[in-house]
Amino acid sequence: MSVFDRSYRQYHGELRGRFARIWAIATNTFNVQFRRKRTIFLLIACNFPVIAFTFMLVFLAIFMPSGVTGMFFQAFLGTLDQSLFLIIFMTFNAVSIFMPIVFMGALNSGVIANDKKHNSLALYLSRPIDRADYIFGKAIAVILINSFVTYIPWLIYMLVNTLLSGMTGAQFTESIWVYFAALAVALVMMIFFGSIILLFSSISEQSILAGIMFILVLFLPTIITSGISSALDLNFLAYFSVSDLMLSMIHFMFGKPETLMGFLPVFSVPDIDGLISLIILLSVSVIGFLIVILRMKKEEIN
Amino acid sequence: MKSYFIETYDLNKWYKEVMALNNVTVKIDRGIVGLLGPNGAGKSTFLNIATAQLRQSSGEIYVEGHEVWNNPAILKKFGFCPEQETMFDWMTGRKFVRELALISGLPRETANKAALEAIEIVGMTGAMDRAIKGYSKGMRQRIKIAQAIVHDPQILFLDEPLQSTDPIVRRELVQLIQTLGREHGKDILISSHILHEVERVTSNILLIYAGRAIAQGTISVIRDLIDKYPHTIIIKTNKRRELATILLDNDFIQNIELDKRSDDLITLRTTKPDEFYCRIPEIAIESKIDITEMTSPDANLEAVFEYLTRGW
Repeated sequence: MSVFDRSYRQYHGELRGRFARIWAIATNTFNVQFRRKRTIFLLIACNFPVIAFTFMLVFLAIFMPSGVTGMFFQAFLGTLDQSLFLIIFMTFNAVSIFMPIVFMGALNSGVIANDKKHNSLALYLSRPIDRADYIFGKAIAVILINSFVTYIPWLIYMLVNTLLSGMTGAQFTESIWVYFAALAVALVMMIFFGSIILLFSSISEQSILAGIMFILVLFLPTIITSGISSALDLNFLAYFSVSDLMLSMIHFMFGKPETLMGFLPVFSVPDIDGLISLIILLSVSVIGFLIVILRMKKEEIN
Repeated sequence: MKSYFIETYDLNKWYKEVMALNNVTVKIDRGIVGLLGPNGAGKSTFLNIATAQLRQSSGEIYVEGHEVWNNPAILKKFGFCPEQETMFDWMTGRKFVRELALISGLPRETANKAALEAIEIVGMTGAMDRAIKGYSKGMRQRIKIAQAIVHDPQILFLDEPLQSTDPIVRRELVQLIQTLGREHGKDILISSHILHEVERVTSNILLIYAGRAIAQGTISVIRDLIDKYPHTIIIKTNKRRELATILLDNDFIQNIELDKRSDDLITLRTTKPDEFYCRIPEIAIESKIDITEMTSPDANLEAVFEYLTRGW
């Protein structure tokens, strides 16, 4: 039976609830941001360490005799937690953090800015949604997009490692905490980067400007403080480096490994408190997010 | 107590030093209401405040007795067709309407059906799977109206919905708006700077000029004044000489100029705009001349408003 009557198509059913509408905004935004072909190149560049490690695993699994594969894995890459820890370090150290920042900036800078610029904000906000719900929808989309440089590639690596390394059931049970630790780390990262990019995107109507501000504000302090703190031995400056905050937080969340095994270079953990780093990252995220909501509550659309 | 469609009390809106609305106090009855005024008069500001896009600087506004700012519950009843043409240009018309139906809260299955039917109502079924960026101005207007009605709102706000549409589409849209208002009981606020457009939809108008509500009620008095002024209309067509020749045979045309800057534009003046708007669809069909756009600059209307507000 048609949901509309015969003459004018009148909808008689119940409208869906609040979360469904937020989810509709999130999926719409996600599709919009991921429609560009350049995204795939950015994704590969950002995830180069994890892609390299995953291919290495596959290569070893194919060409090594089955009995010695596990030993090689241990020797070359360390245990699951060690190798994943190393991958995250390689992705988010003071220099290479530039790529994930660029990816997140490039893909997310337009989430609100483009809506303002192209007047789609008027279309969204004339719908029966609270302005905070609009931001929640956008935040979910941004977090989903950010997961493509955090948890999704890590999860793929962890699954490949688990399946190909000849891990026993007992070893898998022992290492399952890595999946959850990685998820916790990824959530903090996704929320932190997400809230900052939402903030810049809500300030500017130009997505390029929002993206540039995002990259500069996150990357410049990182590279400057890393240089100064290592030269002058001023450890507290590391609190101003996003990379150091991230690495310190990761180390805190993983709890271990204390040392990295394998032949790959070992990155030193920043000499700052991991818990404080976590609190700083979460506080900045919450403050950023609240500012965005408050701005949107007052936003006027011409 | 009588519930009005829209009530405002001393409504003011400033943009820094500019006063966009100045102490507007009106009570608008239910039905189709035309919001008439030249560009920059404050029509869009009024509409944007009524649809919670803007917040008034001072004063009060109620739509169906409810405050609108930060009130999503009342927004359930709203359908809004903004004036601006830029939107999700990369999307197809169908996806655009469907996405906005989903955001309005329609279930997924229903959203698909509702989008198809809203698109059918505005006559865009043939082009619904093309990207919006390839649409003409008229098609954009129609797809914007489709998104405004897709969730079957009780109240429609249409900001210059007939702007830049060709005569045939314009006639269809007028019919659609009349049907929505008269047969289905929708309350519709339609803004325009062209009296004759509004007049074909409703006789109930609110005149806005320089941020003030200067008159409210039936259209007959104001239209007599406006008809004394030659009405200017710009037409875009690929056969402008042929069209100009045909039009000049009609008594209601005062003169026609071929635009020197563009080879597909003609500017005509008429003292009988009613007759012109009535005849032009037939002329286009009979002569098989493609009229892609028809606009009316508001300079003539502005002259009338200045006359009306003399002494304010």
